[in-house]
Amino acid sequence: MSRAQNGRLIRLSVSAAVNGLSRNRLATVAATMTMTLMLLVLASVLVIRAGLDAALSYADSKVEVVAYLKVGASEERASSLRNEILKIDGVKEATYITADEALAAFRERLKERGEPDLTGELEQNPLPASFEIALDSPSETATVADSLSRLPSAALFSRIVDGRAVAESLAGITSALRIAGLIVLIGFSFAVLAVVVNAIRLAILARSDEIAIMRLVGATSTWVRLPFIIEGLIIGGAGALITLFIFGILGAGISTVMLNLFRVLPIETSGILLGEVAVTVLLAGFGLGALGALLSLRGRLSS
Amino acid sequence: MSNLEPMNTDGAAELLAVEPVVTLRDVRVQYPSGHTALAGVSLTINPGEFAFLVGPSGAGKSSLIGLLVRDVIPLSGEVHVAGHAVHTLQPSEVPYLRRRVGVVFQDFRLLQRRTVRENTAFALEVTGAPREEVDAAVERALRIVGLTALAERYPDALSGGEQQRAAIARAIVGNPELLIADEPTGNLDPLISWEIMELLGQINQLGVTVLVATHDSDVVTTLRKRVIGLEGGRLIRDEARGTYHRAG
Repeated sequence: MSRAQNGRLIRLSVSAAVNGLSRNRLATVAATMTMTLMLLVLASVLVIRAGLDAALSYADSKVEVVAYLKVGASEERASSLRNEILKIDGVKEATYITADEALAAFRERLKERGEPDLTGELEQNPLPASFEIALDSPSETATVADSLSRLPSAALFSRIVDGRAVAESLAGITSALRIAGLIVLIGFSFAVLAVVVNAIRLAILARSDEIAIMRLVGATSTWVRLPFIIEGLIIGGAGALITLFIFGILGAGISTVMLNLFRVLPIETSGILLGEVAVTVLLAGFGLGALGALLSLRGRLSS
Repeated sequence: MSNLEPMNTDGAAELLAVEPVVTLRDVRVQYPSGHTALAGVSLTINPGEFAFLVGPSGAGKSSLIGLLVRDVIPLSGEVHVAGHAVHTLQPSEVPYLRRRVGVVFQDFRLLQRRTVRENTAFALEVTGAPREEVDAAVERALRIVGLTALAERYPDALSGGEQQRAAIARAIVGNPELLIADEPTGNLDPLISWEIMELLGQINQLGVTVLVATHDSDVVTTLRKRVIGLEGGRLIRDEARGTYHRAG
């Protein structure tokens, strides 16, 4: 087909598609609304997943071993202990947190959560000093913890905490939520396809006389089918745009919710991959619209 | 050959050497139910001919017309129409056959939401023809059928005869080699029927081969054109200047 013919094909098909959609308003609105609902779920899943990913990567980066010192251990002993710790294989950094710093951090956290600070009532600081030991790799937590307990000065430690368990349980939650999200999305996708197929089939039915004439006078199958595929694309595109509009309005609120959800962790959610969400929602909208149209045309408009 | 232009009758001898518009060779059509609609049908229709297709209901007229536009696929035999070997035609080639064959029906089959002009133009637009070509062809087709003045009317504002003229305009707008009319006067009163037959005759005079399936015995007998008779799926007669009922 020549370029001019392509232009005419697209122009006439778009015009036929718009006429078709406006003729079957109820089915069009139902299909667009279902599409919007599904895409909103998709966008939410993407945002939640991004939040969980951020939490997981934070937890991963924080996989470390914390060695609490006995109360009253002197700073000089601590300094020589630090040198011993740094010599252990797999240890990247060892940060000494004094008992005062630990108390200050604890108070700060209470304040962030809006919980009452009762530490002022205490006569003395009950928190021990500690070493926060960053590792080269999270997989080395067990061996490093073991090496720590065998150091000559190990008697100074009151407790050694292996941070891997936290990361592992968070990874478990994340993966369960991912699977749940995927199942919900697949379920919604089938519902959306069913509604789009229904809308396009109604359009085919409404235009059956026109289709019969097109076939009679020698229109190729591309000319017969394209208007319906464009109808599917319009439903999908409209659903995607409405979703992004709603998402844009709710964006700030969602970010706040996410911040509250993960406030125990210092995650930055305000710029949460909006570009990725927009692109995915648009692709999913157009893709499902076109797929729905193709499914409804299968075997129905053969010449 | 350029159709819809006055035919040069001096060239009739040359036409005989031209490839037939329709050739059927030993065609058999059987439906999935097992019913044989056509059996051993062979016939040839040359360019510029006007032929009636007659026979009682169930004789196989509709199956024969279906064959010519590849609505019906033969079980065996050969079907050639307007240069296309229809019996071996791929689905993707069917539209190109149909552009060479115009069809009108008893029930007109006009699109009610489109004007006469739009109905006529639709047939060309959906084949991807350029706007200027469509406009010129539509004007010419409307002029031939005498509907230029009613071009902006919708079908429901037209009489039955006018609607059939609009359907004929749509059938000829693409400049077909063959015009098939399936009971074109079945819904029309006798006077209008004659007008439609006259119009089909005029289109034939312009060089288009015309095949009319009809039950209208008065028209067939009066016009004394070629008559192809079917009965029980078989070709029972093919007379150059026949009548509706079999002579003798």
